[in-house]
Amino acid sequence: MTKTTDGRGRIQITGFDADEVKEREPLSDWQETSGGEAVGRWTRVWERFKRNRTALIGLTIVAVMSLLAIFARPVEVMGLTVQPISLAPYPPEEILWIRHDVSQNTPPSWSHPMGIDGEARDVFSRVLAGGRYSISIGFVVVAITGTIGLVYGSISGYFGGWIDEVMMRIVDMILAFPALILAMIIVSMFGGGYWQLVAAFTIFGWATYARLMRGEVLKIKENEYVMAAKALGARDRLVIFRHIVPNAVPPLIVYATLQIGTVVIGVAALGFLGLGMDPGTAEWGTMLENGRNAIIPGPGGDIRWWITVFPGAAIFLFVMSMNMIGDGVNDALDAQETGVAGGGDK
Amino acid sequence: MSLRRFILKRLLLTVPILFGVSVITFALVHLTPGDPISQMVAENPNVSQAEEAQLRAQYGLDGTLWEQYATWIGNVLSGDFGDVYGSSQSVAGVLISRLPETIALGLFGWVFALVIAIPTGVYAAINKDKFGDTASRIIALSGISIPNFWLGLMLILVGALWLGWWDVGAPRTAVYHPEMLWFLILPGITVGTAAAASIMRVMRTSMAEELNKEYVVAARAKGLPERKIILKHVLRNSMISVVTLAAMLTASIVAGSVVVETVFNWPGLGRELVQAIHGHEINLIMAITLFTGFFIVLANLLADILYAVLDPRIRYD
Repeated sequence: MTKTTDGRGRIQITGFDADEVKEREPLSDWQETSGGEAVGRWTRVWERFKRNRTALIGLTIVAVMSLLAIFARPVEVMGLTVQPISLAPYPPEEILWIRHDVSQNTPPSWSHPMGIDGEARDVFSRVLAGGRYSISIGFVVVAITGTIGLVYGSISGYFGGWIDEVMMRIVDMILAFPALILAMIIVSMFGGGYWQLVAAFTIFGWATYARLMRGEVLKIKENEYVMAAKALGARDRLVIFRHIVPNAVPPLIVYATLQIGTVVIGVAALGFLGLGMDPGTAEWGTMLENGRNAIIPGPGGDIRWWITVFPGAAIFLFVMSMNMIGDGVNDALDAQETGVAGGGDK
Repeated sequence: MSLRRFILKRLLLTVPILFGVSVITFALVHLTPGDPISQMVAENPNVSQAEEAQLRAQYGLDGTLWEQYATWIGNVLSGDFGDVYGSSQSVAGVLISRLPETIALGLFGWVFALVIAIPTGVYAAINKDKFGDTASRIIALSGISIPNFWLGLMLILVGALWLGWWDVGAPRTAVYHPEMLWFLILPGITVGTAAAASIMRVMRTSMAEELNKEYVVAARAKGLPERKIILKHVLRNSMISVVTLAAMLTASIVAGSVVVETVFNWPGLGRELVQAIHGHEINLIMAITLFTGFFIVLANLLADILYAVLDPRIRYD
């Protein structure tokens, strides 16, 4: 590439040759392919996400914690062991003084790195296995509510008019309540348990996704390509799901990522209030409820901090990592929106 | 649209939403299997069918759901929320005695959140990408990630058990007695932390955005001192998004108070709701839920109006 200046001071670029511009500023995201065929937008989002160190740390922690939860104890499906590994030294519900030489409320030691709780159970095993409920409920709830909200919001935004008006007023009504209070009442209806908790956060949890999605669809449906698709005789369903939805999902994905952490906290909060899993279950929030009973009465002298510190720290770590991922996803998608780091083909 | 028409329109839109809020509240509670009358009957087998019917009539639990709803909403509109089954107190009385406790806690949480978040956000935006900014971002990230019940437990652990500065069970005097300020510190911090972290993040972003605008360059060019530019021009403009967020975060403080009051055994509406749910006190559950819904709808209304007053551009939608 040669730059010459003409008589009036304007820069003329002649003989552009992609091979010559190998050396670029590392931040500019320029690649060989940028000049040629367009890279898929998700590939580019991933490329950008990969460079975000904070987000990658978050992703690693979430992955490790999820794996630890899965491999904490063997998994049996209908009597068949599908996952034989057991990282946790003891079954999380086992009361240890019966078979082992331990007593209740022992502080952390080498053999029990997180101590023994008030019912003589190994806190370390319980914290490892406790992720199973909270983490999986987080992902399941977000998958279901995200899908419902996506469809609901698309319909509302696409058709507009009185349909939109009615559908959005319903969303307004739901959003008038804090999600946690709705979930509490639903759990008190159905009783505690895994699927009851999923239901508690799903029944009304889709409303924010719906509102977000509707806003995006309203913007996107004004684009010419949507009009073109309609003019070519595409049916509504095709226009919505082929042309509008893929362009409207980025904000939804960011919200969904952050929401996983929120649901995990919500599940733990219900557990803490005694409205989650059965008492005694190794679920992070439920463990804290037991722990609260252990510290509040203020026993003479010894403070049994380990019973509350570790399960809560596990929730904190997980949610924080999830939020780090969410921020990273946001930056990666946001740059796409504004074309800041786009490969020049946007 | 003039400001007055905008406010009027928003007020009118609020009416059907408040109606919907009451329907959701009622439906949620009445789809519960096993109402309190069946429980009373189950506990006391001597109750005859006629007495059971009489009890149902007394508590407005006879007839179809729609009739029950009509009776309930009629009573609510005239200020009658029914009685607490367990103690025969009136629900309205319970609400009135618990509300000041929750308001005190919420207010303290609010003040804490704003006092911490706004200066930190401003500082972070001015020193963008420097050490102070990075540190404040990590703190904000922790603040939005920490479960409030655990934060509360940790504060009790440190402040009450290790340092011994507070008693585990706060001694009670009248809520609005100055002495109570000391006991509000731990629960107030707990309830305000999430809001503080969110506001800090928004403050930083919107402030950094404003700092890049041309009027800032113009102000600098004409030689205004930096301090004046930030405090008089930039801060004012970037407060707009914070004000809206602040009103919306009311929901987070309300929901947070449910958990935090339980942690600290604070005798407010939130703790009352948890106890009501455990005890199937449907009148109480409905009253508190309805109250919460109304409160949040009104807070959002206020946010919208404030936003319109502060930034006239958004009225033309």
